[in-house]
Amino acid sequence: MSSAPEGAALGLRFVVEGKDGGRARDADRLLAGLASRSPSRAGVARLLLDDSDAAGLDRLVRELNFAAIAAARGNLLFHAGAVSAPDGGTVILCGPSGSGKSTLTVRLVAGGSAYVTDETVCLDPVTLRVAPFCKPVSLKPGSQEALPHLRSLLGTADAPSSGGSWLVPPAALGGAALPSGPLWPQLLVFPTFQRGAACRVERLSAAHAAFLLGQNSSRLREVEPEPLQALARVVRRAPAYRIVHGNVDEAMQVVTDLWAAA
Amino acid sequence: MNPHLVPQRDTSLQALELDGEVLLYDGRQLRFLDGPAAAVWGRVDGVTTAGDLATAVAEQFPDQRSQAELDALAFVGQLERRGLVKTAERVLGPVYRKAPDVALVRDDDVILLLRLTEGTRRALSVTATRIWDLVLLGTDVEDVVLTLQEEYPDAPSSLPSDVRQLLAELVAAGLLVLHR
Repeated sequence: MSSAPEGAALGLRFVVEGKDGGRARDADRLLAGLASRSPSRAGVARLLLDDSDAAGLDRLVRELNFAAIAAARGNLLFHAGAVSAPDGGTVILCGPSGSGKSTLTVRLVAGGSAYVTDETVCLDPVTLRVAPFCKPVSLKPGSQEALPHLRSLLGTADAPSSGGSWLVPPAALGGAALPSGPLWPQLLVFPTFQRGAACRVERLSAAHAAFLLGQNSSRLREVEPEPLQALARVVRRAPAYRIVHGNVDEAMQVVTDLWAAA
Repeated sequence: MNPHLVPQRDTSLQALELDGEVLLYDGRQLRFLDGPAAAVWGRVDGVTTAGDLATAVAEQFPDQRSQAELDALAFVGQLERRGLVKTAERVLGPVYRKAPDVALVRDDDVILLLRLTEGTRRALSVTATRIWDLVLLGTDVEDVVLTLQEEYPDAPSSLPSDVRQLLAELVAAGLLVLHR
């Protein structure tokens, strides 16, 4: 058995164990954005890389996501992507699978923003500080049309295919480095991708935004001290918009404009 | 929805109001109420009947008042079906509360009421003390009269008006507050 270096994700400390081989090296590359320098091995979770089939990496990333969410219980955990500006202001792109949040996240990073996460945004329920979770981006087939800058990479060793998706390490996304200071929510976006749809933007009321955040939350009942008050803090801090689009370029321009005005 | 029923909020729900809209959470499901539904929820206080509540909400829509009143009554029914409110089986009469600046000294079956901000006091007779105790339990006036008639078979025929007069005097003296 071989061990990758220890990683850290939303309070979870982990090592990946699996057979020697190419996929072990792929795991190292994919999870480099989560490297931890802690010398202590106490309380470290062991995640197993199943090297026996092509979906092993995909399962590893999913297991990592579930374990990180469990370790972060008590916090606000939104099913969302996020990118940050140098001042720490963060756009949270919230929505279910298929809403286009990962594609928009990757495009915003390619435009110069810092990658925070593509899957789970973790906020302290009182301070609203955003915890980065720089896991590999999982892209579905079809998204490569909207990501021409990654097209040549997808499916190679640098962005392997696994379980029907492509796994792209954060280092391959481009973009700026994460700010050294705290990250905070500056703009909430709820994207919906509808093929062929004209771009529509709707400003959401605070309560409606809180409702949508709650609908896209994990472990909301475990948020301390009060989940609804925590949601209210977020929506009072950051304006919220719903964007329906059929074109990622248009959506990205809208998000950029809204972010500049936020 | 029977307009004479009194809806009460489900106290196990967490509720949050933001700019006139409402979020409700029972630990499993999150619900969002806006517009008339939020206005109806905001007026559910465990005392106001569904009919009075619907009338109050409809006053916010004077051009479509009668339809708005029907819609508001229907919303109360929806809230009940969704388990967000429960309804009482009977209409409640006026409800009284002890005034916040009143202290009370009890000596067996009589009480002395002290209005701390004014420095005034009033001693209640045995019967008046009984009325005071029943009213503060939330018993409406009709039931107070019935209870006293059972306890005092020789009570005068003026008992109903006597009870109302006592309560009016206590309210005027600032010792009781009319909640509804």
